[in-house]
Amino acid sequence: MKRLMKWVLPVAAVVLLGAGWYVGLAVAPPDREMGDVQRIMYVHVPLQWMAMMAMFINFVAAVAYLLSSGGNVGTVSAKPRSSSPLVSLLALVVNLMAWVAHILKSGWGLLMPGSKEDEARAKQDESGWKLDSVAEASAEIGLVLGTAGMITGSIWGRPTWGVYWSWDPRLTSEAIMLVTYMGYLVLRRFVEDPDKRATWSSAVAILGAINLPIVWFSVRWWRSLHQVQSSPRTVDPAMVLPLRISAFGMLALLLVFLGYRYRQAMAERRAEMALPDALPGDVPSSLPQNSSKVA
Amino acid sequence: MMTLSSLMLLAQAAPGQVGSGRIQGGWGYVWACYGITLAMLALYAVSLWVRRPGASPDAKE
Amino acid sequence: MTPVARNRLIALGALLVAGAGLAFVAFGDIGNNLVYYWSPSEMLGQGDRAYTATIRLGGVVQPGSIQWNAEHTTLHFRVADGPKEGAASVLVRSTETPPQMFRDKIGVVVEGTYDKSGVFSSNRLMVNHSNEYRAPKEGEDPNKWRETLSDATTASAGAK
Repeated sequence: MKRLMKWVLPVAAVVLLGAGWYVGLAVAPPDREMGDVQRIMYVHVPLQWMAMMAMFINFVAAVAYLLSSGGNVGTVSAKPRSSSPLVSLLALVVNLMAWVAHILKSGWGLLMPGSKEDEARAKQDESGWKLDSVAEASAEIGLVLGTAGMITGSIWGRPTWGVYWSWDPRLTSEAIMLVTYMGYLVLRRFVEDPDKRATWSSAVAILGAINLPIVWFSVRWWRSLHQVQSSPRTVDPAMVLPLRISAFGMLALLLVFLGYRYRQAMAERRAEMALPDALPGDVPSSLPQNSSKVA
Repeated sequence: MMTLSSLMLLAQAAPGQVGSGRIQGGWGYVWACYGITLAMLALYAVSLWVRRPGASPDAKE
Repeated sequence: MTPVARNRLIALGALLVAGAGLAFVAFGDIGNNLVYYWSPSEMLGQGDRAYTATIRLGGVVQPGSIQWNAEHTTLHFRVADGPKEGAASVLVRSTETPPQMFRDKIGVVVEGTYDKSGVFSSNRLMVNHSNEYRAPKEGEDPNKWRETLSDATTASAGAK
């Protein structure tokens, strides 16, 4: 696992992105109408895809956190306390979601480095913090990738559309999405109590996630300047190849970033748990030494 | 290959080319996109390294 | 209430609100109230309401309607509902150089005002690209477009 994070994924990210962008810039043909400007696709589209992916991970982690935190996952009784069919249905849904959260959590534990050492700790307590840390990590990375995606899209818009920006449904919903996750991260900074922070930010994450399908489908639901999604049928095979390679490279990079950002968030959580009064506020990034001593 | 600045200019339609429906040049936009993205990703990687949990046994060195 | 139950209730509540919000956006009437642009027939159907307000008009460039005056950088063309002949269309006047993608039958969105003389004065011309990306046709060399087009466009723009 350690090798995967330290070598395999970073090398894969650099090699795939390098290869995909090289093929896209030097080998692939220019577009019939857009000419060479079309080559922006190989950086813009993977960025946006992976930003959506990161924000979806954030949503899943937030749901899983709320469903599992503070107790044993999966052991909550499935027995309906009343015989009302609605209540039993709700109980069933909640339990199903708790199980999904449990499975996701164990899957994440396998993927992340340092899981063995974690086992020695109070496992029950840590599992919630792991999900909270995943949520924090994915929101931040999604914001970085989404911002880069928006900047590249804006630059692409200038020569093709004629404008850098227009308030069309896709661009507007994308802007709202980025502001939402900015707010999410700011909220996390302002809440000092880790429990409250995790719970409140999870609720914000779930509400903010409404925007993900809206961003995706905005070009289909409403009239927009942005074109609808391309598919392999509407894209020349010689262009699909570099797009695929760069997308997988960006995926590897996303996982690398997630892994490292997750460990940092986890170290902060542990520091907060160990020294509840020693930290003046939620400004852990300025206290790397503190957190390291505890972790 | 022409210099970037002249290619930037070419991306705006020159008079007389109106109606062609094709973008000529514009490599400046392409390089700007790749450059900004690379810079942002590199900066974020550096920020992750700066914020790394120092004494963690498998911290990135 | 235990923290577990409370958190699960929050999750359920947030998911319900999110789902309801999404359903409202997806199946509600928002699409009709938040229109990014009007088509020519819709704009003409508005009657007096379309005059003087700044609006966006979207459609395709009617084939053969482009008139470009390079000296005064004035551009006249017709925006139509569709590429077919006889589709409702509006005459647009623009004083800016259009993006290079601009051509017959391409999708455009113009921002500006419509007046009683039936001319739409655009102060912003945007070109709408499709979701198709194709390599140049066989025998086409994109590097040679620059030379060939400079002669061809003036001729074709005038002839069509």
